[in-house]
Formats: sequence, structure tokens, C-alpha cells
Amino acid sequence: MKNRVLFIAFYSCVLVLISFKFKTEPTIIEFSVPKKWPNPVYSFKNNPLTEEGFQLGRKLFYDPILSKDSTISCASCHLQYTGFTHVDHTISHGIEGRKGTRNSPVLINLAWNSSFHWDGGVNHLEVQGINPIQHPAEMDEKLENVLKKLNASSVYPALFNKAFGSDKITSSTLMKALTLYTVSLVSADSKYDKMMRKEKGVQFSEQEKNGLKLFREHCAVCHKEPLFTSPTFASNGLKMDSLLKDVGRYGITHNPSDSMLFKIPTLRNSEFTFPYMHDGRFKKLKDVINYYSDGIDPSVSYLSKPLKPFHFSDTEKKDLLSFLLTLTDKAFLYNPRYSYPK
Amino acid sequence: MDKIVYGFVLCFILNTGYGQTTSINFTFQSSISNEYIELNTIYSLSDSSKMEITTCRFYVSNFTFYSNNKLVSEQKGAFLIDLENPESLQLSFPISVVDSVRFNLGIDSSTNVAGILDGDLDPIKGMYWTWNSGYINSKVEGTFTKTNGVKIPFEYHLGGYLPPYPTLQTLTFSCEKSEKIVKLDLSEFISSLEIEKCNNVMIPGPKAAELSNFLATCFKID
Repeated sequence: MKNRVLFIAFYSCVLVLISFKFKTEPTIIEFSVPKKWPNPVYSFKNNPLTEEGFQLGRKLFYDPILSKDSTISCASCHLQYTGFTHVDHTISHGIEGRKGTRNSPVLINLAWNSSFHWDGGVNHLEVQGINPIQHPAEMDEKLENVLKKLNASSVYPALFNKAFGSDKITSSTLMKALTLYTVSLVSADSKYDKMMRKEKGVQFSEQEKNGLKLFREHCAVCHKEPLFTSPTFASNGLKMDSLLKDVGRYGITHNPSDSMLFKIPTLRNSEFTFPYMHDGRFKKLKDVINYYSDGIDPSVSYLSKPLKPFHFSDTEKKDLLSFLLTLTDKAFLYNPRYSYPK
Repeated sequence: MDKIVYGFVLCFILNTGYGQTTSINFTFQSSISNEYIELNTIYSLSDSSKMEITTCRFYVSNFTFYSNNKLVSEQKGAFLIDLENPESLQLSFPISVVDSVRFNLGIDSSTNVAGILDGDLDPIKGMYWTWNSGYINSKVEGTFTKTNGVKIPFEYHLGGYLPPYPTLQTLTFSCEKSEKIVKLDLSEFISSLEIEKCNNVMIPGPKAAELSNFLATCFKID
């Protein structure tokens, strides 16, 4: 009897020791690159994609703890159902209704982006999130304070431990967790994608086919398939908003030839990402097509070549619009894996 | 002031105690007209103008050591030298005496595009621009009081890694002994600026590049 008690006691000690010694490793998950897509720009080398890291990033993305007065989260201006942008707001607002100067960008296929923000001022996905946290018109919170709040929380230290092997939350683990969520927002399952993959039963209508042809002829120079963007800056001739006075890329490089150039946004899910342009001046896709058709002023000095008014016919406008709608990816917009964590 | 001086003396004694053959130790000092400076203290310059420094921080990185023109040791990594933090003013590398040392004043371009980083490179150190990603290689802030009593506050945040205005500088010094004192003469830096025309730099660009280049020439080694 005594031996048995001793044995059990010894065995329990060993188990406790083992559980201290071997922490459970986070579960590595694969970042799948859609077929025929280029390799992602983001490297997972220093931030391996793990289930624990992704789920932690997702929780943080939806948690207003990141803002100064705990009123807004990332999701306040980046709603999943609208392609992770702020639907119906020309310009997003932060805490206390403070207004920024730009239309919140979509968070779609960020793994392939080489720069962030409309002016491309941010050079890496991992450091992007510091901007909305600290911007006075957005969350207006200091990164140090966010770390203090998270470290003092009753849930986060354990979650960071699971994901990154340490209870201590740092700028690095915070930003890496957020990155693992946002980098995973991949949209590649629209009707267009299915068509390109020659999936059974998926057909483009005549209108959509004509639209694709027109798109490739006029729009694809900048909005390149399959990402429908390109890693450069351009001007479609929009004149400066007299109140916002946004000079675009010039504000970053101070190179006069970059004046009024902006990042080329992806057109994926554009059916739902309204309003459009860096200042959200166009409410409907129809307005955008009309602008490219007849609204461009060819005398604008900073207009990027080879842009000019395309003068689409009414039928062509409808064709183009019906093609753009094939870029809607409902599986992405309603993917429960990306939604508010319950 | 006393604390800093004692700190220097103590570090110096400690360093000379065991480091002569196995390590090279650098002590960083800032001065105004040959006087070691303390932050938030007013110093008189030779022409009776006055200067006060409130912030002085800069990155040094990627130390390489040479003997007979051959690379002996390469010590990767960046260190934030901050006048407010006496511990940061001492650097020690575990190698024997060499002929010369070369290091960067600032952060190289590959580190600037490497995403989020820890330690001295953590953005919460206040040496990182988030809206225009990149490290601030050096920060000098304070007040200059002209001989006629007019006060001019100044803030120089020098950084930017992209051409045509990279601000990274490389310093090369002889390094034939194990105890080296790296001195930054701020009076030389400030008094040579046209401070009335340009009393603040906050963005990468031609001015940041020009001043970084000039700041590098204000470093001397003993």
C-alpha cells in the first residue's frame, strides 16, 4: 500500500514536471497560394502561420481594447461583409467621431501587397497596424498603452503564450498576431476565379465576356489579373479635394513626379466596397465607370499614361459592370473563419 | 550630472579591470565645447550664445573590426544610444584589440524593411516613423539662445533609407586599444547649422540626408 502511494506520488510529480518542460507547440497551418497566382510578398519566415496565432489575431482585430477609449476595433472600419472596408463612409471616423482624410482601404489579399496605405507609406504588413492604433483620428492610443492593457488582461497573456510561447506581450508579438489574421484574408473564389479554373457549370454570360474583353483592353494595365491591382502608384486624373488637400504619394517621397499619385486598389469584391477612390467621392460602381468613360480631364498634368477618356457606349458600360460583379467572392465575404470570434 | 560622471568612472574602472585583451569597450559621450553634457541643462557657447539639449539619441549598428585591412569580426545588431539612459552609453564586444573599427550611424535599409522588430528596434522606443515606415537614425532636440536673448527651439529627427536621400552613415576609426571613447560634439553640430532658417526636420528628404552627413562628421574617437 505504501509503495503504491509512493509510486502514484512519484508518477504525478513526473507528469507535472513533463507538463512544465514541454509546452504544447502551436499548430502550423499552410498558407495556400491559389493556382497560377504569384508567390506572396509576405514572408512567413519570422512569423510562421499557426492556428493559435491566427485566432489570436482575429480576436485582437475585433477587440476595441486597441483604441484609447475602448470604443472602436479594427473591424469598425474594416467590415468583413463589405470586403473589410467601411461601407457607405466616404472617409472613416475614429474615436469620438473624429474624421480622417481618407477612405478606409479594403483588406483583401494583403499577402501580395508590397506597400500599404493609399500613399504606400508603409513598407511592411507587420508595421501597418501601428498606424490606426496611434493615429489621433483613428484609435488615438499609444502602442505602449495597448501593451500595458493587454499584459494586464485576464485572457490575453495565456493566448499569446499559446501562440508565441511567452506570456509577455510585446510590440512584436502583438503586430505579428494581427498580421497572421490580416494576411490570411484571401479572396480567390469569385465567379471570375471559378471561370479561370474552368470549373464545371461555370459560364460567363455574353455581357460578362464582353466586359472582360473591355476590361483587359482598358483597365488591366493597372488592375492586373489575378490580383486586380499592381504594385505601383498612378493618377486617374481626379482633382484634389479642396478641403482634404491630399497630395498622395508625394507626401511620402516629396518627389514632384509623385504628386497626386495613389495606390492602385484591387477591384476584387468591388460590388460591396463602395464608396470608391481614396476620398470615397464615387458612391456607385456606375459612377466610377462613367468617370473613366467621360469624366477624365485629359489636360490634367499628373494624369498617368495611357489613361484618357474611354468613351464607352451604354452597352459597353453595362458589360464592364457585369464583369466587375464577377469579382464578388461570397465565400470570402461570408467566411465564418474571418468573422467575429464567438 | 554627478550620477552620470560617476557612472562613466565606474564603467571605466570596471571595463579596464577585465576587458583589456578579451573585449573592446566603447563609451559614448556627448559634449558641448569639450564639456560633457547633461540633458536639460543650459550651457554657454564660446560666443556667449547658449544651448540646452533635451533629447539626444542615435542608433549605431553592424560593428565590423579589422586587422591589417582584413575583417576580423562582424557584430550584427543595432544599439540605441540614448543620453537619458546611462546604461545605453556603454557597448562591449568580445574580441581582442584590432587596428580599426567601422560601424553604421543609423539603421541599414534591409532592417528598415524587415517588419516588426524587438529590443532597441521596438517602435515603442520612439525612433520609428509609422506613417512613412522607417527608423529615425538620430534625434537631437533642444533650445538655442542667441546672443541677443532670442530663443529658438530645435528638433532634428534624421532618418530615411530610400534613395535618393538615404541617411545611413558609416564611421571608421582606428581602434588600437580596448577602451575607446566615442565623442559627439553637439556644439559643432548645432552651431554650424543655419538654425534660424531650419530649426526642425521631421521627414526623410534632402535636409535629413544633408544633416545626417554632417552629424557623422561631429563624431570623434579617443
